[in-house]
Amino acid sequence: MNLVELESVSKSYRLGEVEVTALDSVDFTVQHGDFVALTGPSGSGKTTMLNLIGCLDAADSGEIRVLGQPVSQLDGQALDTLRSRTYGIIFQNFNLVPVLTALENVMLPLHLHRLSKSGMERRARAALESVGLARFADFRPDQLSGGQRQRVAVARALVTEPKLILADEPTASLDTASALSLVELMKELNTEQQVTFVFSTHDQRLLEHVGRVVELRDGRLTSTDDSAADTSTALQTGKSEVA
Amino acid sequence: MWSMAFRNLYRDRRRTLATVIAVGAGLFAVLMFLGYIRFVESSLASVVIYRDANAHVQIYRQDGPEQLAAAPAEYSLNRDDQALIHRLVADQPRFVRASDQLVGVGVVQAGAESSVFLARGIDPAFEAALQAESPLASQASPLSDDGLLLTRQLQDLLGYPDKGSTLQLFSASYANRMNAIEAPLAGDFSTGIEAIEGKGLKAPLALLQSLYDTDVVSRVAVQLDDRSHAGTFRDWLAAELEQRAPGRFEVTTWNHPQIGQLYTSFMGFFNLVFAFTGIVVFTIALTTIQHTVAMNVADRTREIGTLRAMGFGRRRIAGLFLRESVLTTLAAAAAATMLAYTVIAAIAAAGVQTQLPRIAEPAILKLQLPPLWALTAIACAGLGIALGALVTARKRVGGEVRPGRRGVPLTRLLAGAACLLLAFGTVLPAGASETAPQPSAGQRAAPDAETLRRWLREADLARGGWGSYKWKLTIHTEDPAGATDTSYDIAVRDGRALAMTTAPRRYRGEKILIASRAMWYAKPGLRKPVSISPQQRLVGEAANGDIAATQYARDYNPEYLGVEELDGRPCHKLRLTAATDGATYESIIYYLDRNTRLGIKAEFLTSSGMTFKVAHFEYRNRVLVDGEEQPFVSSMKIVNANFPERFSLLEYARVSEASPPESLFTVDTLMTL
Ligand SMILES: Nc1ncnc2c1ncn2[C@@H]1O[C@H](COP(=O)(O)OP(=O)(O)OP(=O)(O)O)[C@@H](O)[C@H]1O
Ligand SMILES: [Mg+2]
Repeated sequence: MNLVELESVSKSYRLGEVEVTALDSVDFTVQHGDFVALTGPSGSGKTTMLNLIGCLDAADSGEIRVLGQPVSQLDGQALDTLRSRTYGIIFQNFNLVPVLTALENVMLPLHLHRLSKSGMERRARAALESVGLARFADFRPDQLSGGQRQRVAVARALVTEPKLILADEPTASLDTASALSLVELMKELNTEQQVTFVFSTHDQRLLEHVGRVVELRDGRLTSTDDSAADTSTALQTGKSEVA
Repeated sequence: MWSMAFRNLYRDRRRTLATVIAVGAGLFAVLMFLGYIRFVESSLASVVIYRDANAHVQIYRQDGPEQLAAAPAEYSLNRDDQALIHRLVADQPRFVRASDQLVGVGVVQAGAESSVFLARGIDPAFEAALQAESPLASQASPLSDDGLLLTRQLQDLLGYPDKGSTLQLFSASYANRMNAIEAPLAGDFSTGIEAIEGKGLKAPLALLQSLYDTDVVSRVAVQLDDRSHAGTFRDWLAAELEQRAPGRFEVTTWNHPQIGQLYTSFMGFFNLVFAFTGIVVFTIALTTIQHTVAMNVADRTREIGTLRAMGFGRRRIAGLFLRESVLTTLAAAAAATMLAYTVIAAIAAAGVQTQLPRIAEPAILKLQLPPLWALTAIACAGLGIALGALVTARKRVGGEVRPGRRGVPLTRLLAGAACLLLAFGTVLPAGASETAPQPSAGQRAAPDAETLRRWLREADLARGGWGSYKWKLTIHTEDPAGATDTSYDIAVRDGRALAMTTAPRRYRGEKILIASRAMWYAKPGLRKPVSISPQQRLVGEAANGDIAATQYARDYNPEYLGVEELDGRPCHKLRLTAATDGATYESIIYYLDRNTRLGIKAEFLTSSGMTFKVAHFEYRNRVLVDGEEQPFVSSMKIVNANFPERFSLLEYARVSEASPPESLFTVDTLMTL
């Protein structure tokens, strides 16, 4: 079954008198084990699309189905549950809670899962371990480097064992080395733990490591996205599609 | 989540501190005010119970608390009542002591000065025992067995007579006869009620009973071991008494509005002030917290967004902000409580004196803040604030932080209400005063002032107001307490009159002299005559001023009101307004028969214009004046306008022209007659 399906989804924003079309009848599918990069120039609608996939925003028209379930039929509480059970989210600016330690930040999403305190901690430590930050568990965000913070954010997204991790420009605030190592980490998680990733970036160097690239331009998908492609062997090199 | 809330507070510690200070100051104010209220409450209670010797429970005749002032005799406890009450209460476990008390009015004189008094007759031993157990420091002189205590204001009205000097008390007895006693001034006391402080007089019970010539009492006061038992004791006693004599007794406690008036009225007002202050402080605290929450939410939109994206619901995130508010409020509450107790201890240590509202003497300021009260107040405030914070947080976390608000803030609501109240206060009296009296129209050509005065003089003449006569007067007085009959010999000469009691025997030797607007009362045993002011002549159902005839032509200014029929007789209707201080009444509506021009009816009005007595005259006597037969008054019936069952019938007999000697009408010879 498809993890997420977008069927001719449109989204526009009103800015006073002007109406900006952020997404224009987009069809898109994510399957289990995908490692998808959304690319395109600034303002092309990448963030908008990720928000729609993550149910952080509602589409104007078209239909979005998560695990076959149309999200327009879900109420606020069901959406909250869906977010906490299905998604892990990584932000461009990490968005760690500044007053919490790395470990506590990673534990945060587990508060929505019925877990004992020790169970939460165990899983959080495991997640930190998997991003290579076990030693930094008790550091607060302002004591970590940018790359480390984003790894904490990855661990936080991972810790609930989500079906899909969405990341909006996860490397934009990082230097090249950190960015590359982050993508490598994500890739590793994808291949070893079959974590599905959809992330946006306009960093061309990163796209070389990505199995499936989808390009947006003015709210439209410019390339035919071979969504049916077998992406479990995602270690193809080079861009699969070029604009 | 709690630790996260705590850490957030710590991170924003400056804002947190500011909030804690603002909320803490509010709560501190509430606690201090609460302590003050409790202090005032217990002080007022002690004043009512101990200083004013009301004790805890009082037993009256049914409706006594309200009616005693108007009809002391009718609403009194007789000997049997007193015995029954004392027997019932004596062996109760809460009982400490009981005592009889009497209240009454009259006039007190010192030398040439006189003033109205409101007296309480108390057993000196009972008062001493109560004073000894009072938590208030008493400055009053102890009540002795034979002396009078007067408030400083009353002493001032009497020109500060020396301690030990003799005062004369003058009043109507319970049988509505005039009576006077003498007793020395023994010291000061305070009634504690500003409105009556100028009239306060305290006397030993037995002395006051002799003034009113009675062995009844107004009430029995019972002291219990603690004021908290007053209610149950009252209920028990009321049931016991009701069983023995249904409908006869009324049992009250010290905080009954008629007894603890000071307490109830002031506590009512104080509670209102407290409620208002509480609401204002609460609103300020609430607004501060809400503002802090709103600022926090605005500052942490990203954090909120992150949490929302992770699947945290609005409620959970609002919960985080709520926890922060609760922690802030708790910190503020702890600080406020600690500070409050410190300040209270400091005030107690300093021994500050304060003037309590409406209590004459100063009291030592000792705020009372029982922990349970403090806790309750803090809990209520905290709960309200937390609820407010939650509402704000949920609203704010819900999405965009909108600048505009639709709801009216509580502060503005309160301000609006206050304005409305003020407006009402100013509008209402203004509106009420708009109903101006209408000018009286349709008057016929009125007789001139000269004519009116002549009419009055002729009417006075037929009532013995002028000329020289003597007659026998019997006064039959009836009121619900019983009937009395008194007889006098009256002699008049040119507007002066001497009345001598002839019956009953007990009162023989009493004399009343009315000479040129002044009036004196004398009886065997008094060292000198008691001077009776015009107002005091109103004492008794038949005013003492009515015993002798009155000179309306001299004392009042007439005004013609037209013709009116009385029992089919056309009458001139006159309004008489007091022309001198010597007049007994403020104003009188007087009806003169149009044919005979005899006064056949008089309505006596109070200064506010209410009729309080009505007199009807009959003229069946005949006297010879200069060989000519003239009608003379034969009866005067005076009815209380408010209580028609109370009346006096004055009957005039054996009227004859006479020429009593001039010496009969001087004060100096009054005692030697
Ligand atoms: N909240 C919003 N209100 C109004 N317009 C918006 C809003 N969010 C996005 N837009 C508009 O929608 C369009 C798509 O924006 P979006 O953020 O999805 O682009 P993007 O591809 O993520 O750009 P970038 O690479 O700069 O992050 C843009 O024209 C943008 O101005
Ligand atoms: Mg973007």
